[in-house]
Parts: sequence; C-alpha cells; structure tokens
Amino acid sequence: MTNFWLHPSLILIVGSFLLLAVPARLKRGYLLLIPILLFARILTMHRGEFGQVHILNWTLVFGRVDGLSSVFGYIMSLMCILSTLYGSHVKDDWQHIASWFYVAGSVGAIYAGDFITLFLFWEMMAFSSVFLIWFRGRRESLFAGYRYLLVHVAGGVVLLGGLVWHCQTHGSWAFDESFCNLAVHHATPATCLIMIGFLLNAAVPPLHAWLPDAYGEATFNGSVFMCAFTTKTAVYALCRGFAGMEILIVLGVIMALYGVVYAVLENDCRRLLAYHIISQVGYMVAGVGLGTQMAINGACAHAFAHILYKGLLFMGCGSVLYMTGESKFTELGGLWKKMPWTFVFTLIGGLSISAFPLFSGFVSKSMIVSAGFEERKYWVGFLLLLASAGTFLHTGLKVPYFIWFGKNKPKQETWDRAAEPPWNMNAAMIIASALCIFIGCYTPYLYKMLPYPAVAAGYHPYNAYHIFETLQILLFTGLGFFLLLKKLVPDPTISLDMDWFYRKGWRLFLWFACKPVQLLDTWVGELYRVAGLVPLMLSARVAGLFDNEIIDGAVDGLAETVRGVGRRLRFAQRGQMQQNLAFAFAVAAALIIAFLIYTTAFAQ
Amino acid sequence: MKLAKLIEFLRDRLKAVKLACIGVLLLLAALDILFVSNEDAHTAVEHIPVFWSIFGFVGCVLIIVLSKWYGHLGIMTREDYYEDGTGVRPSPGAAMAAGGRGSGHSGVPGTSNPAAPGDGRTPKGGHHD
Repeated sequence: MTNFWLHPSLILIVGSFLLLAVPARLKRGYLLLIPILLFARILTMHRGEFGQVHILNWTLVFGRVDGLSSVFGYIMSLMCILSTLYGSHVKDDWQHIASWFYVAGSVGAIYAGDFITLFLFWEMMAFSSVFLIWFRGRRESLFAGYRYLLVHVAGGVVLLGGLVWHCQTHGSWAFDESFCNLAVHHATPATCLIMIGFLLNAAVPPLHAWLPDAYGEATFNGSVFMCAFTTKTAVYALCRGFAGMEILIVLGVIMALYGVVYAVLENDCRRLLAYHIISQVGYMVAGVGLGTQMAINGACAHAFAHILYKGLLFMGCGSVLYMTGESKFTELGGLWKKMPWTFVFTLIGGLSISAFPLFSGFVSKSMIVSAGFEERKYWVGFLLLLASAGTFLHTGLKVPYFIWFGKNKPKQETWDRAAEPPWNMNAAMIIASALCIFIGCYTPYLYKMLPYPAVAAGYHPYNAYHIFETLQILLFTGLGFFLLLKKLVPDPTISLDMDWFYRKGWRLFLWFACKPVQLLDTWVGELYRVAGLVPLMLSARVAGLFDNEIIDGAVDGLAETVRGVGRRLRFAQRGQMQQNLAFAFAVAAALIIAFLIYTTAFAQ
Repeated sequence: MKLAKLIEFLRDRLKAVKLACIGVLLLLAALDILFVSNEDAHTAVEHIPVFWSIFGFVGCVLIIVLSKWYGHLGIMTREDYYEDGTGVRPSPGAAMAAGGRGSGHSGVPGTSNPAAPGDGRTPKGGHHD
C-alpha cells in the first residue's frame, strides 16, 4: 500500500469482530457508533484513487472516490445507521455481524477501482446477506436462503467468467473511471457476461425471482438491510460500466411494469414491497440505458431516494411482522387502532415511492421520466408514468389499506399482540420519514451530490405542469382503487414466478432422468448384452478350451517328464554333502571337457 | 393515542370524507383546465383537457384488470404449492408422477393438499430477541 488509507469497509469488519467483546450494557451504543464512524469516514474522504495494492502483476485499487461512488457511498452508510438503529434491540450479535459484513461488501464494491476488488466485495455481499434470511429460523427461510445463495453463486460465476474473458482480451483489470467503459456500442460476449452478472443482482427479469423469495423470508430487520444494498450496488455497477446501453431501456421499462403486475396478485406485504423494488429499480436501469447526464443523475438520485423510502416501507411492514407475527394481508386488518404511528410512517414511505409532490420520489423519479421525454423516447416516458400509477395503487394504497383498515378481522391472538414497536424501531422510522420529506422539499441537498451537479442544478421538478400531471395521475389512480376495491381484496394464494423453474423444474429434471435417460440406459444395456456380451462369452469359452486342452496339456506333460527324471535321479543321491559336491563337480567337469572336445573337433 | 382518535373521527364521518375527496378531484381537474398552461407538454396528446386524469384512471383500471386476468391464468396458486417438494426427498415414482403432471403452471387454487406432518408450518417467527 503506497499510503495508509482507511477503507470504510474496514471500520465495519473490525467493528464486527469487536462487537463480540463489547459488554452487554454498552452494546446498543456501540451498535450505533460503528455505522456513524463509517458515515463520518465516508464524509471525510477526498476524491482520488487510494488504497492501491500490488499483487503479482496486478494493481488492486480499493478506493476510487469520485462523483459516482461518493453519492452511493453516502447513502449506503446513512442507511447502515438507520437499519442498525432499527434492529438495535436484537440481542443476537451474529445478526449484526452478518449485516455489517453485508454493508462492508456493498461499500467495498462501490469504492472498488478494479474488477478483482469488485468481485471480491460482490461475493462478500452474497455470502453475508444469506445469513439475514437464515436467522429468521423458519424451515422456509432455510430453503429460501439456499435458493438465494445458489442463484447468487451462479450469477457470481457468470460475472467472474465475463471478467476473466474481458481482462484476457484487454490486458487490464481496471474498472475504468469513465462511463461507457465497457464499450457498450461494441458489446462482446465477455461484456455481455459481465452485464448478466450485474443484471442478476439488479433483479432484472427473468433473473429476478430470488428477490421476492428472499426478501419476503428474511428477518424483520434483515429485509431492511437487504432492500437497500444488493440491487442498488448493481445499479451503481451498471452506471459505471453500461451507461448508454440501449437494451437496458427496454429491460428497465419491462421491470417497472412487471413488478406492478405481480404486486396486484401478492398477498404478503413484504413480498409486495419486494416486487416494487423490481419496479423501482426498473426506472434506474432505464435511466442507465438512456445514458444521458440527466438520466444518470436521475438513476443515482432515484437510487438515493429509493434506499430511504423503501427502507422505511420495509421498516413499517417489518414492525407489523415483528409485533403481530403476520405479514399476509389476509391475516391482518384494522390495525389503525393499535399501530397508528406505524401507519403514518408507512404512508409517508408510500407517498414517497409514489412520487407525490413534497416527497422524495417526486424529485428523483421525474428526472428519469423527463430524460426519456427529452430523448424523444415517448413510450419510455408514458410507460414509466403508467408504472408510477401502479406504484401508488399498491404501495401507497393497497399496503396501508389492507393492513390498517379493510374489512378483514385478524385472529384474536394477532390482535392482542399488535402494538406500536419499540422506541428504536420508531426512531429509525421517524428519521427515515423526515429524510424522505426533506429530500422532497429541499432539492439542492440531493442534487448537489449527483455525478453531474451542474446538469442537476438546471432541473426544476416543481413547475405547475409537472405538479398537476403527477397529482392527476395519482389521485385518479386513487379513485380507480376505491371503485375497484372488491377486485383488489387479497386472496390467500402465492404467485408462480421464474423461481418455478428451479423450485419445481428439478422434478422435470428428475422425470427426465427417470424416463428417457433410463430408457436409453436400458436399451444400451440390452445392446451391449446382445452385441457385446454374447460374442465375448463365446470367445471366452473357446479360449478356455484352448487353455485346458493345449496349453495345460503341454505344461502338464512337461511337469510329468520333470517328475519322472527327478524320481530316477533320487536314487543317485548318496546322502553326504562332500560326495554330492564331488559328484556334481565331476559331472560339471565331464560336461565342460565334452563341450571343449566337441567344439575343437567341430572347429577343425 | 391522539392520532388513533383523529382516524376514528374521520372514520365516523366517512361520507363527508368521501365527498371531500371527490371535491378535491373535481377541483384538481378544474384548476388544470383553467390555470395550467400546456406549454411544458411533451406530446400533442397531452393537450387533451384533463389528459393526465384520464391517464391515471384508465391506467389504474387496466393494471388491475389485466393483472388479475394474468393471475387467474394459473399464476395464482395455493399457498402450499411448493411445500411438498421442499421436505423429504420424494421417491422417484412420486417425482415421476409429479413431473408428468407438473409440466406447467397447472396449480388450481383451492385444491390444497393436506399438510404432511412436520412440513414446516411452525408458528410464525417475527421475534428475535
């Protein structure tokens, strides 16, 4: 290392190890101290390249601090404080350690200046976050965790393959600073593999099913961490490597609508929110695909706002799960009497994600939509606005209505358990709510942090046309919701998604192994028996006959002769060693003499 | 619990709240027609009066109707659909039978299988203290 440079992830990693040694009475303070130190470290970092390590022929860059990485690093560390505060009453140290390693992976990937470092932290995220699912302790969580891990390992292998291939071709591991680095206009198979690796983490259909599967099954606070880090780190990586890649526009718009469709069908509130992550990340992916400075600003701003409001929504629904033990709409209802403040915080999250004026989504989402219209891609603008109607329909209306109101009556046990959550959970929700409103009201706070601050400063979301456009879309969506309320009453069902292929598809594989493959195996076995085994047995029998009659006959005959000679010679034995030796020497001498006479005689 | 009392107050006057909401919608549409200039519109279609109100309402209805139609194609299925495959490894015969049947999204809502003993229906665990 050329100069000592404190990597922000190191604070979390060392902090995790020390957590085990901290006395119980100091633990809650310590749990807040470490994320605050992380945030302070990120605030004090200067722009430039730091933490360069030379290994073999490679130069690893652990700290590449620039406009793009700074905005993501800032919001990740801020979210780490809020999420840790939210779950700070959890006594199990290992849950906090897993969360902090997960955040360390995400922050490390964001500041990585080369592909090897990126990959290292990328995988660290997957392997630490899986514990946030397993710690839920349910049998379903165990399976969901394994599925999550397998999908991410598969994505990691694809990414690694792409990286190695790319670096073999280009002779460099550098994850270059400039946008459009990966030659988006001349995509090679290697860059496509890298992109697939990123797209899997961004949950782009058809590689998205891991997200609702895992986030719906994680611990109440684990989901708050998970909803912020994996997908947004992938958005960062896409911004870095694939800005302007046109296919991302199409994929982004599909994502935005796909999440909305599945959210209509969903009965579990946290799975519904997970589908809306897919929808919202769709905006960011489309922004990356548009690739203009305004669109990249929009993608980053939306990631920033999204981390806060989605965290807030998962906190609200996590509180309901934590206090009542239920997360299904069919098991909940009428909780406004018991948890009114949780309702208000969740509603603020819902209004933010729906991009209501004065809430954070309004100032971030509209940048991407405007970038679409400015590029004269009208279909992008209209379809993203349609998706935003769907967002309000579910997250702003369906979630609050069916949990806190609705005609459904929860079970007595659920009702008795329901109450406002502990103070730390409320505190985290209050801060997140305040930030959502602050970002929506005071735009320079966010806009100054964006990678192109000059472009952002020229964008003004608060004009009469934009405000009226948004209010009309959202409020008339509300009218549609209440008119079609009966159609939206949740059913106790699950929705089949792409995970069907690896959750049920293995049965098809098994059937394939049992039926066609086994048939082929039997047929080949029979062929082998008829065409191979029968002639083989015949030739073996002939060989056996030859061996018995001819070989053995000759060998036995020889043995019989030797035995006969031996029997006769037995009588020549005199019993004394000297006599025997003298006899042997005599015979040998006679033979030698005979040989000599024979040779001399014939030589002449 | 002042907040709960406020909600209760509004719930007791649901009719008035509904009327107020309708009033807000009408006011919004009226203000849009009367005062908001269309010079920032991106396309010609936005010049239709209250275009975005129509867009929001029709969009909402389309999303609900089309999604529900899609869900009822067989995408929505019983909650224990995956459960029989996640526990004890089924015998090849059982797997073959399931594979032969399960070549697509053929789950029928409401035909749930009886839960196998120990199939993981443990009490929901939200607490982690």
